[in-house]
Amino acid sequence: MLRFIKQNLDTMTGVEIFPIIALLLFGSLAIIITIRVIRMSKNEVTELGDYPLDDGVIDVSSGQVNNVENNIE
Amino acid sequence: MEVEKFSYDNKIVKNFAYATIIWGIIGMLVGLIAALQLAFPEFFNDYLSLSWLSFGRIRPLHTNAVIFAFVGNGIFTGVYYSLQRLLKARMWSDKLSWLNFWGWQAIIVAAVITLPMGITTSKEYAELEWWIDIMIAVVWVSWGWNMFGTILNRRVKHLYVAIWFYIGTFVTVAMLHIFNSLAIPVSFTKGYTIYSGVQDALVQWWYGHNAVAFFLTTPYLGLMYYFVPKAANRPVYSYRLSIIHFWALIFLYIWAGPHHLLYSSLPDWAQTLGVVFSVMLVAPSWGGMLNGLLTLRGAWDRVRDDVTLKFMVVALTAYGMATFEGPLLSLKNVNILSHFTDWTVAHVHVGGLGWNGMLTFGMLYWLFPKLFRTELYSKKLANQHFWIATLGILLYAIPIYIAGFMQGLMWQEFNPDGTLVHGEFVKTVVDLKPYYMMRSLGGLIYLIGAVMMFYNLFKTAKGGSLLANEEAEAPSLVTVMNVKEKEGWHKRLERKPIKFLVWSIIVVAIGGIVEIIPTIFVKSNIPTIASVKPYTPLELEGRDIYVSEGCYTCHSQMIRPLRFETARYGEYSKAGEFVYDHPFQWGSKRTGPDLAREGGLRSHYWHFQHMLRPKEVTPGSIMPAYPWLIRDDLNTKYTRKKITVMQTLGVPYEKGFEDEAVANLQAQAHGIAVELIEDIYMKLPKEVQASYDKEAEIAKMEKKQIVALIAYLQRLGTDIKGENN
Repeated sequence: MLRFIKQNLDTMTGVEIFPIIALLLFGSLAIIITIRVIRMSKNEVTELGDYPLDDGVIDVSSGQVNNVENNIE
Repeated sequence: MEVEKFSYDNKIVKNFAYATIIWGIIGMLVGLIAALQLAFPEFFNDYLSLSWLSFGRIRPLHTNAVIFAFVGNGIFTGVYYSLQRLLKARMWSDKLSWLNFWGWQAIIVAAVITLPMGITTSKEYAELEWWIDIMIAVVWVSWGWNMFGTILNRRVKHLYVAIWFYIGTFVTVAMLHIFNSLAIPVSFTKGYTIYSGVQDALVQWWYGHNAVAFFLTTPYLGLMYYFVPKAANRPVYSYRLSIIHFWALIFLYIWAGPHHLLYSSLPDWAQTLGVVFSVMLVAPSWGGMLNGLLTLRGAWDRVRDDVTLKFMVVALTAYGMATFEGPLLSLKNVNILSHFTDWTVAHVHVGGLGWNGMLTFGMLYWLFPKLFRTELYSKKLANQHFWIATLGILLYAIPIYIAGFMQGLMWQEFNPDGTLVHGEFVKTVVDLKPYYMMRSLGGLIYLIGAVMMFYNLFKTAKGGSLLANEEAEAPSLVTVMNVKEKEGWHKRLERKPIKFLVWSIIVVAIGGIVEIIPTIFVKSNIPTIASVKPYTPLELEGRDIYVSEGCYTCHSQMIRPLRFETARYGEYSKAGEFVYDHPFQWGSKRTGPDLAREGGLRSHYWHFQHMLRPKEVTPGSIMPAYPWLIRDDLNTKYTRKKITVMQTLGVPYEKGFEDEAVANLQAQAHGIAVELIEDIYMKLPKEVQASYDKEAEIAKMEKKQIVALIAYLQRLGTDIKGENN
């Protein structure tokens, strides 16, 4: 397997194309994620952002559950 | 809606938190000792000249202790606390949590024992030998396994961004660690890396840089995305930004490694790639920093009173500074000045003390009262710790920055006649001593702060009682999943952890594959030099001593193709010179001069004296003495095996040479011992000469470790020097 890769890379001309391909991949990924992020709905963003404030812990003294409603100022 | 009751495991969090504090203090103390060795070398040479305490062995212990023991345990503390709560599930397996904790502590203890014994691979931040590497892989996988088990058993639909950072950390560190640690064992205490020279350098710094990226940064960003909102009691400023932050950061970071090798023998295209991606990194890094700081919008008044937030704000600011400076240092024109100097040391300490240290302290001050159901023992003491730690960072960083600039500039200074102003390297070291002293003071102050925290948190724990299992309730995953809603592809991905894992691997692997595979396999990248031959068995043994003593922590073997370097050290280093170097010894810091062309410059006797009494041979030198190399015999038990392993790795020793290796070694050692004893004899007073038994002394000398080390030093760079002559 390794020999097969080595053989091909040894003889490959224009191996520099790899980094260019990778750069294009990065560029595409960045664009796709940016578009996706811009198109996220406000509700979705709020719901996910609230995750750390909602851990479902039961307060021993009050019996109240720690969630977003009881938590955010 | 049907809810399930369950409990969070706080005991494992407490264990890791204690380990973080204890190992943190030990790691910082070792760092302080190393700093004092540079500031007061005379004291250590006169009173504490012990092999296990010498700088070359202690410095790797410091770096490993603070990275893997302090920050490592800090990561697990934060992850075990936040992961359970973000997933609304107890850790999947308490047994695996236990294995993770004790396995990790066993690895640290192994490091604490082996590194001062000189058992090291010399690959920075990967110094531990092959069997400890295997332990690391097993424990790391046990953590990942437990994490994925918990993710699959969660009671929430999606994975919060902090968990993405944990997943990214897990897969990338596993990949880096396994590939960089590939080695063939010679014995229990020695293995040879499968890579050599340029390839080894590239793989090592692909690992080394990403140890910073994926051990010191991404998991801590995950912790930041959990603990800053928690401490501020408000959601992260922009969840959208956090998504871009994550993907951009993990994709870009993996490419940046070659910026550690600018102007080296690494092919230019790989260097340029490293620079380009390093510069791009500033964008996601600052995006993350701003996201953290802006989370405090509207709550800045709380920062005044809340010590946890104070630590976190300084941590984020230090992160911002370090991630601005990193790209700056990766620019070739800046790197000319900064590389091999204390500037790099200052840079990593802004990150280490500022970002990792302060975030850990903030997290611990927040956690202990929660874990032990009580108030913090002393807010006043915590506040004092905050100011002491901040002052410590400044007192550490400022002098060492100045030392770095000064030394870098001194190396480059030319007289009008074209000669170097500071031709003797030692002159550029002597001037740095006051700064080394101030730096030690900064480190001491920072350490005192950590001890204060230890006391404060210990009293906090004593004043409360551990809530080992914290009760919680949440709707089951089935119930949560049944709530239908419209969702995009990324949100779908967020609730499919295995797919998420696979995509993370693909993203981080691209950079590694593109950079490393062509360098390893394309012949034209590493032009071979006909005159470069494998080391003799004695030189190989000497090289292993050089590695074992950590000489690379202060001496480079890489002359950059720059005028001020070639004027000082000679012909610049070529890639083809290192093809038999398992591992490479280019180094990353010059507290002493480069040794790439050391061979043949000085007599055997000079090296002998220099190892015994460096200060007398080079006035002003801060190098430690190595009397044990002159006292102890060389162990040739594994010489044959070493040659065999080298043959397996492709070093062209002739078939059957392994059987002659020891005899070859003895013959060369005899030759060096004869010359050495002759010189020693000539320096003796006449009355002593009469009773001096040269033959007996030669017989003793030829067995000593120093002879092997001299053989290696005399070989350095001579292969192509000979060709040029």
